[in-house]
Amino acid sequence: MKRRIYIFIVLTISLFAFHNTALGNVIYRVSTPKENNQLRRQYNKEKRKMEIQEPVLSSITLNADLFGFAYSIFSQGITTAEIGMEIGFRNHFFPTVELGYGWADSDTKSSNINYQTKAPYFRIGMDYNMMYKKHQDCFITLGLRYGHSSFDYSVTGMRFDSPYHGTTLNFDIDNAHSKADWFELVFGLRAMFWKNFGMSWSLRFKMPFKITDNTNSKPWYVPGYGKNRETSISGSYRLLFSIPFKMKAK
Amino acid sequence: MRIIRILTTPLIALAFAACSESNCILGNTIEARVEFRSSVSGKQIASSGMTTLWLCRQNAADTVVINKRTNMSKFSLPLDNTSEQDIFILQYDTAYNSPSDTFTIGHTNIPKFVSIECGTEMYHTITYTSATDNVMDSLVVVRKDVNYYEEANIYIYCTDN
Repeated sequence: MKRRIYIFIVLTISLFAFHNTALGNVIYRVSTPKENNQLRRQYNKEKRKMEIQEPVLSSITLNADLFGFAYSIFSQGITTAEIGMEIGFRNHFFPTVELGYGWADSDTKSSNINYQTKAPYFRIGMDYNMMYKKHQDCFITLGLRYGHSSFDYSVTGMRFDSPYHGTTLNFDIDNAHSKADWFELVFGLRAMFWKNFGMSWSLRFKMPFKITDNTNSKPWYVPGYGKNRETSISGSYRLLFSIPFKMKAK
Repeated sequence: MRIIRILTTPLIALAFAACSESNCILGNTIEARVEFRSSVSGKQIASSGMTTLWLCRQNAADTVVINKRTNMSKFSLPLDNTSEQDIFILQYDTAYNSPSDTFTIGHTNIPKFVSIECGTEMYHTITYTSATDNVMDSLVVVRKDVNYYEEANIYIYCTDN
């Protein structure tokens, strides 16, 4: 009996020891370089698979700018209305078209000079989703735009006094024509907050490429660009309506 | 929280946009700049006596632009915004044999709208000049565009005392 008990204990310990050794071989065995490469290739393949889950055409988004109306409260009789459309490719690149209309009916405080213009403008460009790998509804964008406007403007009420000569010249500019081309660097943030609706804001750094002057003036306000300066900063605040195209099921 | 952030950030953008800057050129009037120059050395000289500059206008009394200034080496001429010709009489000190010279400046007027913030400017281009030579030897246009720059437009050459 003692002998049998002894054999049983030895066999049990041996089996346990063998089992642990076997497990160790499976779990903790160091992979060979070849196996490592295979595993890496498999991982990359899976990763690519995950990435192409985002459809090529990921969304179509319509937007309307609210900033132009808000800005008119602070500005000197300047108002803009603007809508836009963008198409999302893999939720990564967003080619964009923006169409707008700008008005200015501004007076000087000290004199009676009045500047008037109203004209359409457009911008084309693209936004880049800087957080596209995260597949989130809220993301930061960086983009570029090219803008163009062809417009007429009038300046009335100009008065030139010659105190020594005791004379005054009254001078008006009627429907002077100008064209403007400019570029914008756009930094933005957007978020979807309810179903297909969202909002976005952006800061726009504008640089004129060419704004044509006239003999007696250069345009003070350019529809779509804003006040005619060497560089200017403006913003936009947009209401978005997006139609997303679902990611493919795995 | 996220929505609040999204809604409040435009206020910052609005603040950016509402800040307006104006780089208006202030303190300078656009007038033709005239300098006395030596006919011998060509260097700038000063009138020795009391100099008076009269502005002559048609159908109106003359206006004194400079009244009995001494040791004057340069002065500014106000050009008429509504006329293309101005006539001035320059009266020198009695030490000179001739009391005065008359000179005419022909010019174009270029009214400019600068901006709503800065208003307007009137530039001129000098087209011709003519002058008597009672005291001055000659009158030469050295820079025909009359603008904010301080450089002289006209040299009046005189013989040194």
